[in-house]
Amino acid sequence: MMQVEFLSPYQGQLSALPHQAPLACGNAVALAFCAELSQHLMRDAQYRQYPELVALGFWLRDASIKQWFEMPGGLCKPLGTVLHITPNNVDSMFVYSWICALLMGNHNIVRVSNSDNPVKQQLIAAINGLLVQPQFAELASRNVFVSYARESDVSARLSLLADARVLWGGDASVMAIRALPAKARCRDISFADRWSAALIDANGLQASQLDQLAQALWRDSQPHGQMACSSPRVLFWLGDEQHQPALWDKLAALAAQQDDGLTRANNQLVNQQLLAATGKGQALYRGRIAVSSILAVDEQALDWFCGDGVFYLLPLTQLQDITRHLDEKIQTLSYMGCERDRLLDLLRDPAVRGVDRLVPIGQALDFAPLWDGYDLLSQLCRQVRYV
Amino acid sequence: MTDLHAQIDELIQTVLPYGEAQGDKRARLLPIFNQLHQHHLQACGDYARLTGDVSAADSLEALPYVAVRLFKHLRLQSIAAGEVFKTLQSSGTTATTPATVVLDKFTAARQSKALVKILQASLGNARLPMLILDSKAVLKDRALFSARGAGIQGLAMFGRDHTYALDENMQPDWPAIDAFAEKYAGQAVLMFGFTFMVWAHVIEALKQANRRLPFENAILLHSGGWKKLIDQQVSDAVFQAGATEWLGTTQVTNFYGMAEQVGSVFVQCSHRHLHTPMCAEIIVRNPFTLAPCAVGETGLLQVLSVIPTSYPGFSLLTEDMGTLLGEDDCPCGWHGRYFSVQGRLPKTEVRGCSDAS
Repeated sequence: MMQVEFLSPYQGQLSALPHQAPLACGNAVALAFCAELSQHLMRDAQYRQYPELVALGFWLRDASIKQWFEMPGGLCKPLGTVLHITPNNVDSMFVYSWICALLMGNHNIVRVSNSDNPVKQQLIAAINGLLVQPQFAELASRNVFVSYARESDVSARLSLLADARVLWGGDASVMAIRALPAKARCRDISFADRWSAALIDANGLQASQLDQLAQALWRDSQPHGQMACSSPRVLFWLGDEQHQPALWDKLAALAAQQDDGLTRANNQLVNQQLLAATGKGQALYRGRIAVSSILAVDEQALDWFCGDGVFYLLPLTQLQDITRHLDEKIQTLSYMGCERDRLLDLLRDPAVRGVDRLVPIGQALDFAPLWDGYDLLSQLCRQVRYV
Repeated sequence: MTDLHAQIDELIQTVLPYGEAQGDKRARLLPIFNQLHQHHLQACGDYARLTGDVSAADSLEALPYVAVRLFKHLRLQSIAAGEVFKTLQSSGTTATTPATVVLDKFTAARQSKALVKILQASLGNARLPMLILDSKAVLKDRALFSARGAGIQGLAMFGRDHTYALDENMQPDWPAIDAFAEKYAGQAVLMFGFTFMVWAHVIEALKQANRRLPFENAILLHSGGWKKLIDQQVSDAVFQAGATEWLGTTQVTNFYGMAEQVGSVFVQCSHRHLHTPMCAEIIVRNPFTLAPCAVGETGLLQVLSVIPTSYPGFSLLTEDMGTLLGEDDCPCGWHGRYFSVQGRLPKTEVRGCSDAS
C-alpha cells in the first residue's frame, strides 16, 4: 500500500487511473472546466488577495484560451497518463502545465508537496469544488492530486504508470526523478533551475514613466515571493542611472502595500552581507526591497537569492554587453525602453545559449504553452502524420 | 592588539558578571567594541567589505552587526591560517548547514574563562558530582569538533566524577545511571544536557520506565533550541516541573548561547529571566526595520560579546526572537539587561529556486 494522501475527489486505485477510457485532444469537458474555473477565480472575492490566482483566472477565460490554445498540426491524440511533480515553493505554477495536459486529453496524476502554502491550498480547493460537480465527473475520474513524502518510493511506482513526466523542481530534484525507471517511450519535460532578468534601457527614460515601470516590474516580482523561474532577479540597466533611487523608492512603496513577513528583513540582510563580504555585490538600497549592484551574474550569488524584494542590479554600458551574461540558465528576459527586434538580433547569435522567453516588463509571469523552450501542447500529445 | 586583549581579559576576569549598572557597563563596553570593530576591519577583508568603513560608533546600537547565517556560508576569520587553534562546527538539531567558527588560543581561552566566571554566579564554586545527560559518543569524533561536544567539554569543568547518562544510541545507560545514583543518593549533584535531549531522551525515558532519580538536591543546567519542544507544547514551566519530578532537581537553570559566540552565555536567574553578563550585551531589533526596540518589545536578538578576536563575531544579528524585559530592575538583584527568548524565526533558510520536496 502506497503512503499517498488524495487531495482531490478521485476514488479508486491510482494504478487503475491509466485504464480509464481516453478523452480527445481539445475535449469539450476540459474546455468547459477551464471556463468554470476562470469565472470562479475571477468573481469570488476570496481570491483577490492572491494576484497569481486572479491572473490564472484571467488566463483561463474563453477569449484568452482562444488565443493560446491552438491544436498542433496533424491528427492529435493524447499521450495517456501524465505524472506531474510540482515544486515546493512556487505555489501555483504547476497548474499551467496541468491545464495543458488536461486540454490535450491526458489522464493526470499531480504530485503536490505537503507544505501548507495558502495559495496552493486555495487553488486545490477551487479545483476540487468543480471536480465534484456531475458535469466534470469524466475529469474527476481521470485527474488526481496526491501528496506523499519525497523519500517514499511512490514517485518510483508512479513513474512506471506514466507516458510523460512533467518535472518541476531544482536540478537535483529533477535529476532524482529522471533517474527513476519509466516506460521506454515516456517523455520527460523538465523545468529545472532557471533564473530571469529584466532589461531597462534608461536612455531616454523620463521621470513620468517611473510609476508605470515600477508597477510593471512589481507585477512580475510580487507573485510567488519572487521565487518563480520567471520572476526577475537581475535588473540589467543600460545607460543613465539618475532615475534609479526614485525607482527603488517606488518599488519599495509598492512592496509595502502587501503584508510583510517576519523573515524578510533578515533574509535581505543576509543576502546583501553575503554579496558584500565576498565582493560579489554592493548594497545600494535597503528598505522594503533590497538592491545590490553586481558586476557579473554569479552562480553563488543566484544561489543566495531569496526573493521577496531582492534585486541584483547589473549596469551595462552598451546593449550588446548583455549577451555575455545570458547563460543557459536564464529563462525570461523582460525589457523596457528598448526595441524587441534589436534584442532578437542579439539573441540570434548562436553563442547566446540562454533566454527562452522575451517579453515586455510586466508580462514575465504570463504563461503561454510555449514555455522554457518547449511547446507543451505538442509535447503533451502524439501527432499522427498522415499522407 | 595586546592592549585590547588586556582590556578584554580584565573585563572578563575582574568584574562581577552582573555587578555593574547598565550605564556604567555600557560606558565600559563601548570603547572595547569600537576597538574590536577596528581590529576586524583590519584583520578580516570579508568583514571590512560587508560593513564598509564605519568610523567609531557613539553607542552600542550604532555598531555594525553581522547576520549570524553568514557563518554557515563563509569561513570568516581574523587571524592567519597558522594561528588557528580550533575550528568549531555548529550542529544544531534542526539546522541543515553547520556554521564554522574559527578560534585561536586567545579566543578559546577567553571563552572558557568567561563561561566559568558567568556560571559560578549561578552554580557556586563547588565542583559537584556531574551527570551529563548525553552520550559520550558526541565527544569521540575529534575530526568534526561539534558545538555539542564543545558545550559538554566546556561545562565538564564545573563538575567531577563525570558520568554519561546515555549510551551511543541515545538510550539510557541504566547501569551507569544506577551506579551514579547509588553513589550520590541524597547528595547535591550537577546535571547538564541540551534541552531537547534532556526532555526527549532522559525525562521521557524515566517517565516511561517509571523510575525517579533519587537526588534531593540536583542542579540541572540546560541549553539549546526549544523549537522541537515548543512543537510538543513543552514550555519552560512544563520542562522545569518534569525535571523536578523525575530528576530530583531543586534548581533548573536554562542558558541561552550559540556556537557563534561561545563563552558569553545568558543565564536564567532565580526569576527565570535571561541576564546579560558584563562581557556581553543584548539589543532587540524590530524584525521589519531592524531598528532597536525599547523595553517590552519583541524582535530579533542582536548579541554582542567582547570575546571574539579570531573571527568577526563580536556583534551578531541572530535569527532568534526575544523580548527585552528590563534593565537593572530584575527582582533577582542582578544588574544589566534581562530578556526572554521566544524561539527561532520561522523557516529562516530559504531554499534556492523551485524545489520539489
